Amino acid sequence: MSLSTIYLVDYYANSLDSPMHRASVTVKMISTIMALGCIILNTSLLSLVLQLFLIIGFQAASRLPIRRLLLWAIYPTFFGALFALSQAQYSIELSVQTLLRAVDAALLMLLLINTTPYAKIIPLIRKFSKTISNLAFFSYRFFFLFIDESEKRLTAFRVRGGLLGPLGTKIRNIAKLIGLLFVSYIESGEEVYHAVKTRGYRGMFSTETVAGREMTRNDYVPILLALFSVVILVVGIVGRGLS
Amino acid sequence: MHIHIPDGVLPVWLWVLGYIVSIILVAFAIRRVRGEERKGILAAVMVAVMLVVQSIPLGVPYHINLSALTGIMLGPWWSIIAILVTNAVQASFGHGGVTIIGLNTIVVWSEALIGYYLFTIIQKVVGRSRAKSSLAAGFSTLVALIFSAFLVVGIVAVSGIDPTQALGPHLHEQSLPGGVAQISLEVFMILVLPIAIAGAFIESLITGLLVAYVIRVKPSLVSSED
Repeated sequence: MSLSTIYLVDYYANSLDSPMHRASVTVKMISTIMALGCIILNTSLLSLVLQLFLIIGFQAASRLPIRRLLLWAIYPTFFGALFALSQAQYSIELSVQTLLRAVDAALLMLLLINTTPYAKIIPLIRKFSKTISNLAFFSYRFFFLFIDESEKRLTAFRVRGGLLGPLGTKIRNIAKLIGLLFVSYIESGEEVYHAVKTRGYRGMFSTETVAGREMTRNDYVPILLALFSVVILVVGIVGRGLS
Repeated sequence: MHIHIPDGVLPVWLWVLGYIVSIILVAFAIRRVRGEERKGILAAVMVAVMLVVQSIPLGVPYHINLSALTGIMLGPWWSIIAILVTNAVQASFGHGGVTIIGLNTIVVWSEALIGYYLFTIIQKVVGRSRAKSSLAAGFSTLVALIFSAFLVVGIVAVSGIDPTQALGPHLHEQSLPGGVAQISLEVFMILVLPIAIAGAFIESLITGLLVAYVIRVKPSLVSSED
């Protein structure tokens, strides 16, 4: 996971517009959990392929760059492939299923985070824990505060040959780089803390969570995703039963 | 070290158990940290730091977590909350499955917990000079990471899955052994543990040097006599 990936995800979630982007966060989260459950329980090869096309279809409908999302899914696919390889001696079908399950789940999560701004997920977390939601909120703010400085220093570090030389030198250079970043991050964090404290922050934000609202037409998009996933799962179960 | 198992592979009872245990621990931690808003801000900084440092290339197929340092900086209770948030963000990017968040929180927290307690004990015994604090941080990190490597092996053994499926210390393409399909738990340990331990040495060196640097430029961040 590179810094630019997180930047791009944030951009896609905040700047693109589609019914999936406009749908309620709660509905999207519940639908994603349902779809993920269907993927985990799915043991039919054909169903998993159908599920893959379903998710890619929803990504395309959400105007997301499919090729880039597939590239981002390579990392989990790689680990899924290891599972698949280890199962190939028992059953080729089982190994392909494992691989597809890993890819489907990764692409599903990418669909969720590329259509849902992180800042909108935080009020949902707040319903379960204010401490965790505050932590998530501040870490989100800090991450984007830090990301620019980190990229600049990383580039300078590479240009100056920080990764050259024997491992010992590399480690010493990296430790200095991280130390430098670390101290500046902590100082930024303290500045933010003093700023919010002067505005009345006492460990909790006084603002309420996003108020519940009526279902909109947009909310039917993630619901459709969940429903189609259930249908695909059922078709897979029935298909296996018949065969 | 954390587990890189995609969704839908581990037995349901195991990842559900991981979630139950981590939810209980986090709920307890939330009660313990009540009123510590300043440390909460530091925890948020550590979440961002953990996410950023994972992107820093080391030139070897391993990335650092700074989880032991997180434990040293935040203590045991804030660290588990910070680790849960970090793991959740990582899982949303496919860096470990969503179903593995609970288990990963336990594994990574074990590093923070051991790092914190060992660092505190060593400082009490040998003193708090810059050099000693730096060595204490490095040594605590080393022990913590080696422990977590064995914890991952234990989880893999308990799960009953093929051990090659849980490549913990970021075994990337270049470090993969051939013929992964026929590997037993013993072979898995022989293959994975040396890499995990080598990674632990790298991270402990970085943590030790980082603590020395921090004590030099901002000693208030790490308790030291210098």
